Amino acid sequence: MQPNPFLSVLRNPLVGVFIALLVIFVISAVASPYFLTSYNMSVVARSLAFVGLITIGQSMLMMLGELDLSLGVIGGLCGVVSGMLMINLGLNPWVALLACLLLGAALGCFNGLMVTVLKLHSLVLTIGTAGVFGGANLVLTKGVAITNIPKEIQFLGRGDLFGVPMPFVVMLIVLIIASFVIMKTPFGRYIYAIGDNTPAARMLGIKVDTVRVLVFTIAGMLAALAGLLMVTRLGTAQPSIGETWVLPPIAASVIGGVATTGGVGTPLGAILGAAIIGVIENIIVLFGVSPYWQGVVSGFIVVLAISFDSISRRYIRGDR
Amino acid sequence: MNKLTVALLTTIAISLPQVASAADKAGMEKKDSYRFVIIPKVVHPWFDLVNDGAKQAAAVIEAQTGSKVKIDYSAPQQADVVQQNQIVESSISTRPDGIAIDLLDASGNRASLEEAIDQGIQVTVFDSVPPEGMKLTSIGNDFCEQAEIASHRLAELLGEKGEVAIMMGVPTAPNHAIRAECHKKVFESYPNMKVVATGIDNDSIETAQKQAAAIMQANPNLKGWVACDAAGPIGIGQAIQEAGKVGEVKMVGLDNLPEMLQLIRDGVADSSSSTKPQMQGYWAVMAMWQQSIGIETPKYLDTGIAVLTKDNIGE
Amino acid sequence: MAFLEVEDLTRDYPGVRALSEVSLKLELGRVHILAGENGAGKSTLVKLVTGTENPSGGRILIDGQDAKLNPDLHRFVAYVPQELNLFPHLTVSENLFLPFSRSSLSGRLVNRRQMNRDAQSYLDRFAISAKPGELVRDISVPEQQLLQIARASVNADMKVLILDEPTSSLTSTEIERVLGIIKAFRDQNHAIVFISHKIDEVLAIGDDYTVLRNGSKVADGQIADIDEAGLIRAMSGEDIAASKHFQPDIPDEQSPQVPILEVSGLSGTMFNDVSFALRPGEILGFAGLLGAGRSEVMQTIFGYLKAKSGSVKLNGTPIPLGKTSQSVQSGLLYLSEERKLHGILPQSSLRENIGISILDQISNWTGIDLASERQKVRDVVKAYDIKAAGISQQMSHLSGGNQQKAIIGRAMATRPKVLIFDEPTKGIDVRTKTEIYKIMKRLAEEGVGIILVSSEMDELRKCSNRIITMYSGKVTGCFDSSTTKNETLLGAMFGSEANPDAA
Repeated sequence: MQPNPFLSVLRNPLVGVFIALLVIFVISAVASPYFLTSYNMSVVARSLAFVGLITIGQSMLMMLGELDLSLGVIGGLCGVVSGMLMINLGLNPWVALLACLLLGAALGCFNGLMVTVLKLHSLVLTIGTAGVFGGANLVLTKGVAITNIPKEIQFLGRGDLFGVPMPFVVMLIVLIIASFVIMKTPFGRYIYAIGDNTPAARMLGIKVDTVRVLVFTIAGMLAALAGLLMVTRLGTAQPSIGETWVLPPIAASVIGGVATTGGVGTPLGAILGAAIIGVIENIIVLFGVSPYWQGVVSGFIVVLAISFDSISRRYIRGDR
Repeated sequence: MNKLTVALLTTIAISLPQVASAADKAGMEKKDSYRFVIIPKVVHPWFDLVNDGAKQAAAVIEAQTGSKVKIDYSAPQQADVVQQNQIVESSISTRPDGIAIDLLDASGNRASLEEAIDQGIQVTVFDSVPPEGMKLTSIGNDFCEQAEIASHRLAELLGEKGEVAIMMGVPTAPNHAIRAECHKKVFESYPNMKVVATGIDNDSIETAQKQAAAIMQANPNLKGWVACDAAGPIGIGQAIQEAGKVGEVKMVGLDNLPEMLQLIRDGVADSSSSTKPQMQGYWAVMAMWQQSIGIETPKYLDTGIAVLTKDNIGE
Repeated sequence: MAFLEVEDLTRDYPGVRALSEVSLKLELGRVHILAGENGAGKSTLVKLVTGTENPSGGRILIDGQDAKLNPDLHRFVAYVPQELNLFPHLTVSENLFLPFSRSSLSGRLVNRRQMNRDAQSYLDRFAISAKPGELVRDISVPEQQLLQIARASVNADMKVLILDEPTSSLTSTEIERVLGIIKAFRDQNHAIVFISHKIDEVLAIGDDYTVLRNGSKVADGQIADIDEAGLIRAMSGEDIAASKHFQPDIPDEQSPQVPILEVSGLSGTMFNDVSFALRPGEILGFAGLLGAGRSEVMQTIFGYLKAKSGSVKLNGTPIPLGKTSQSVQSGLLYLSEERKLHGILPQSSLRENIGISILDQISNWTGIDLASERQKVRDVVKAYDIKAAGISQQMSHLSGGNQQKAIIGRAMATRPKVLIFDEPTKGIDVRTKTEIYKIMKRLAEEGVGIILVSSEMDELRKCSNRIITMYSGKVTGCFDSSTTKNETLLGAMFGSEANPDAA
């Protein structure tokens, strides 16, 4: 049986999110003359980049059926450690960045090992490790930002490539690599298989624990990358970096079609979800919505967006 | 991307400095409408008072000149530099005539502020210190002075002796840190006084209440409290009431939120050393207005400190 | 007049018509057999009648009224699904009475003592030995299956009781009990719908029958007018010799060969000191009661469960225990009895389900070659006759038999040396069963070592050359299947010390 190509496009779960994003985009562009200006687009793109990096890692974990609530604080901790290495120890900035990427990977790996070896629930474990990593951050910095990050690396956060903000370029590259890994490599398939049915994956001879630890490690490294880019963006290593990176990436992933129970979704979908959240945050300011109403308005738009996806799934794709 | 918009923006960006440089014409051109953005640290009642002052200024300008003035008030939902920067950047997109901001962290906000200036938008800072090397007008009071007034007054109340505690605000907020430091110095200057505990309330009444209750449990001889932010004294006041230590433990509060005033009326707090948020909002708008018509504004506007007691706050 | 009537019922899924204009009448006081191969549309029909899904066409009349206009009518229909879907962490009595509003216990508070007392009378009636306060996860699988039937009958409004393969995990005495319960319901003037692949049960208990094939009704009538061959012919559309043998021919005279698989002194959870050897070219059967430890032995050999002691040699080389990835790499594969739990990736497509085990064959430095994956999967689908709307169909939408064939096909695509089948035909129709038997025979003759774990004596005798019996975690005998009497085998399965004769 040859399926109708038009219908099969509509059945792709990404379409619903994409249309929702498009609708929000069009409404914003019509309602605010400032929305589509190149400056505003670069503002939206840049803020999407940081949350986006976390979202890519978190969505891969969620596809696996896991969750890491410490990703935000890993980003913050790696950021301040990089600052200390550069300023207090006078290390070459590039070496410091690399070291902190590895630190992020190590922290993620630690979470993964605890989850697999001790068979802990990742949600509970990472609530705990988030406290530990966040606490370490305060111990190291006493809450004071580390200033004077060297100019030579600030282009990573502030610069642009043909008008596209640098962090966004980095995020796009990571997204392309992640999508390739997820869709085209055995490793990616294993992630889906484990998330879909862990016992079955084990029966198939997949090295379940190895894959889980690796994904935790990757997510930790991406969190560190987000934290480091934020440090180069701000020009200071803020202890508060990452505090707001906990829930939005999870929400973005769910909006983008990643199930919290694992087995379905793509990093691209999650990024589209993050874009929806990012655009909402932007237009709320553009429209001058009262801060007291912002929660109501942004929450309502998110609910609309996911309802739209669910309804389109029911009517266009014929699921139930 | 909309090419027309980009072209338009470029024109504005190029023409703005020229207007400013034409010093002889400064202040002589009349605009029909102005729009100013106020960006506080976080959603917080203290900033509502700032906003009230800003609106008053708008009304005054309108009444005096006939030009329409619109105030956009955009607050981060969390006291997070990253979020505040996003709001600054999104606000730049709307091309306002000026942005007044209470900086969460001068160095962390720097990149976004520079971007605003690059885009030709005037920035005024209130209740905080501008980033090093940036020539911005700042409106505020001397935080150290505010703290000193409070701690000296507490020392006086306690007869210059006994154990006291300091409730620090958000450790990363510079103005909170300055106040804490100045409180400490004042108490050190009294030989018979001792700071036995410091709490951190992160500008949350609930946290302040929990911390204060615990500290009073651990230090039964504690005689007095000072705070470093607006939420702290309210939480401390609640803890004092709950512990049944009204009168026994004295407090000199900070700022002028309604709950603070009530605590003074109820006798839980002796007094409050208050900034003048309405005045800060008022003068922030005035400064932005002056800048937008090309007038140079002073480096620093001190709004002064008010000591609020039962006698001067009314019913 | 019929109590429940189905007229021209049709249900479409994206790309497939699962049910096409089926009509059917259920009368009170009679047992109606719903027969058909896997994927014939039985489950779809049940879903529509119970109201969990809405028909695309046609109508359902319950007690003379259209159920579409009054969905409340579905309360007359109780359904016992094939898969266990109890709440494992709740007690027996809670499982029995949930939702409480349905039973007479409705009220704001749950009176546990009253509930347990009420539960006991149901448990007695169904001869369930578990206590009302026990947690469901702690009671045996057959008891759970009986509990599911008991739960359906708690519904006071029940007029129609649908049972989907209620005997698939039961031994013969328990099956007798279930059939007795069904008769009792029939005599209390209920309409029973009975779905089973076990022809003897069907013939024993049925009054009327309806046969579905490919979503359409192909035959109906009274059981008294049809025999086994006729029913099978109606279901499959062709004649299948029911009593054919599928033992592989072992090349003689080569007996003193190295065994393909040699297990010695293996102990683990639920079993002790198990030793046996799998010879080249044979199918080795494992018989035993539920809980005898057969699956545990196999899962331990495979590395899914931890071994306490013992060793496993594959073609003379020891393989490390406790790592499934190692076993798969050395060519030892296990196909679990629990298809849903241990076999399929339900949310993934058929392509992904099969592709997952051949990824190393189809990927290079540019990643997985999707075109060659599609080609290889299509080959497997064709070779194992897997019926699906396309290779991108979601796995959970395939029928049980087709899922099983996909799992076997997937395993075969890795070219294994030893394949362990654990209850490969559970819940699978007669024709597909025969196909699976043929596949096993062919593989064995091609030199793949085959172990068959089964609860159906008939299946073991048809397929295996030798049968090993187990009783409560121990091997009780090893028999040549063509020369051993049934009684000897049964004796060994029930634990009587038999002489391991003629092995």
